[in-house]
Amino acid sequence: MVTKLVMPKLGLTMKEGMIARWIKEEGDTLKKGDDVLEIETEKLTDILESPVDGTLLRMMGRPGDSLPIAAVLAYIGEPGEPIPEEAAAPDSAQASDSAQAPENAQAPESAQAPDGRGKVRASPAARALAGRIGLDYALLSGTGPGGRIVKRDVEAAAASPQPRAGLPAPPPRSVPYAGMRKAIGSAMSASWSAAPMVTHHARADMTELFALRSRLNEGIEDGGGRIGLLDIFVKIVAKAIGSFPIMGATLSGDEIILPGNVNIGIAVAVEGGLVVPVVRDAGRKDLFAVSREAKGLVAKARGKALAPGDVGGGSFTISSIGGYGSVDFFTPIINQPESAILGICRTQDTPVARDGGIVVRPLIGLSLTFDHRVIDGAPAAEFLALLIRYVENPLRAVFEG
Amino acid sequence: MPIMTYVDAIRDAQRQEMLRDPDVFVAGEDVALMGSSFGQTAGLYKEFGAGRVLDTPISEGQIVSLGVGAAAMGLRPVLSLDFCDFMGCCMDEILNQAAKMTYMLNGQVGMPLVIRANIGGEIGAAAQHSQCLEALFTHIPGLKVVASSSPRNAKGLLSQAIRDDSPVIVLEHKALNGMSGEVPEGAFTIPFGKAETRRAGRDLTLLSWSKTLLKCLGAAESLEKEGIDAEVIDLVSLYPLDMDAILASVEKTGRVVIAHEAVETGGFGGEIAARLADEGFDLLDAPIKRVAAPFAPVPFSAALERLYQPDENRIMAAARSLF
Repeated sequence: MVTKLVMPKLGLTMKEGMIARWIKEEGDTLKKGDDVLEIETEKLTDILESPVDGTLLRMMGRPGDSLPIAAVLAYIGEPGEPIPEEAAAPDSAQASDSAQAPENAQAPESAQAPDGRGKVRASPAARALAGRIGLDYALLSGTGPGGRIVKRDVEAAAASPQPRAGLPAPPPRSVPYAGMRKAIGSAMSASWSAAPMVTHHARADMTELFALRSRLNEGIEDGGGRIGLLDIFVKIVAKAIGSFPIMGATLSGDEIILPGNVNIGIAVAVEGGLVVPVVRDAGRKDLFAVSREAKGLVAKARGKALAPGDVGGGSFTISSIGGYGSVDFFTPIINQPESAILGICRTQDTPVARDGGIVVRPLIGLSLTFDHRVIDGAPAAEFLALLIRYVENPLRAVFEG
Repeated sequence: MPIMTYVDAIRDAQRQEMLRDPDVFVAGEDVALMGSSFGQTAGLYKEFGAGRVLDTPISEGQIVSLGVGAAAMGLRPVLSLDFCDFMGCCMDEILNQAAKMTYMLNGQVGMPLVIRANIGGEIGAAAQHSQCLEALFTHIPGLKVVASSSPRNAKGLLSQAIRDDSPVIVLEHKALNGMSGEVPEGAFTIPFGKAETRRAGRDLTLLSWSKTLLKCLGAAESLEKEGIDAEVIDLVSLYPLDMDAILASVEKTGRVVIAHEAVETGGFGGEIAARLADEGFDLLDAPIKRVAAPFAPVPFSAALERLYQPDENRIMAAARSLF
């Protein structure tokens, strides 16, 4: 095996060294520890010894040549052994191992393994300092032996006027497009390409609905027993679909299937995506039953504990993003094979003209997306008008036949 | 301040303590009429007489047995064992009697015993007269172990050892005997467990004791020319060890080379390295390096002994490898 004798790093500031003279010539037989050549730096001269027994196969420079640290100065091996034309793999780089120039002759390596994997080599002090000042040391390049990131590298990075400017940007991070993410992606893109979708937007006055909710919850301390806005919307929408069954239709091949039971899906954001549990037969259940069921499903969804029977088979989906307080209207995508979806947006106190004057009312944004293959604009607008009526006069939803 | 040799400083420490305290006496081979093989007790016999300066038979076991008994009865013996290599002959007296007696007898007896022993090579005394065996004694609970590197601390440490109520192994380096330096006059002690910073530096901590400390000082001078500013710390006492001083220095420098003349394997440098890795992990900016003797008996040949002993070049090479 051919051994390399490399330019050692002989001081803090040494970047390169000069070949002062060759003590041995090509073809000379060397014993381990024999002086091979003398090198000179800005500060000192040193004699490099052969780390192995062998023959001096190749001298890689002449007296006066300056070479960077770790540059190959000589190859030592058996006579006739081929000399690697270019830098060999790091594991074949042999550092000089004599008493005169031992540990200091090391090939510089990246602090990170060349393939980008493996541990970042950083001293404990560098890691501790980086941790204290909140700097990602893995992004630094090390100036210590073997490319180790040492304290001065962290100090230099921290002391630079724009600490982050000198650093490379963090590398892009990849997360797998798989599992729930991929399922959502496929479903959304299938719906998007299959359905010509139209979205109607409207505002509704929430004053009465808030009042109803307060009255319903009077005396109920238990949070789980209280009626929420979403519960009321599930009930109202189911009721409205009773009047407009086409809004709860599903398209299957050559058939438009109108719902028997009205099953309302609720889009629930969970870690890594969203799921749509379904409240079964919401049209015929009373509000309290709907509320209990909806709360139970949302809790199971967030706990990733939904059963297969809790999802699918929906007639219509509600997607509420009102709680984020940011969105007035949006264009929800239909949860196929359903034909429509209602987006519930934020409620804002808004000046409203009433009876020739201006009053401030809490207005909610409603976005109804429908599949124009199944539903035309007019029935969708009528359906939305009914929803508004129910929102603004919720007792109608209870008593209207 | 008077200039004294290392040997004179050791003699002066014994004399000063004998003047201070009539319980102090000296015993060992040839300590009386001959004044010891290296002269460390010269003149004491004449001044203090046969009752306080005792020539003993050539039997280390008997010397230390005498000391253990006398110390248990309240005297303060200063025992001379010319070569620490001979301590194998009195190991039971040291490790089972001197170190343990106070504990075994529930503190009913003290053990104010001093054992002086010469360590180290460089004088061609071969494998049985050149060893540095401090790690044998730092491993024994109940003993204190100190090692001097200058006339000043040779006197201060020995005086302190004589006043200490525990058994103390005082290691003196035979190659330093002729060394001269300033030594405070009269009674003078150096507290145990306090390292001496012999040279301040920012880039690197060189930890050492005894003669190798001087090689570290030399290496530090040369390293400065290469742009490496080394701090040199003389541990002086190995037990108790001044870990605070070590950690404070490493906090500043982040790099450590521990140099000693004893063989590296199982040497006291390993104990320091382990404690540094434990207590100072986050301070370290480079691996802890040791420079010590190879795992081999000390060679007789002068050329081989030079190669065997940790020298400035090896300390410098270890230092450079950390940058």
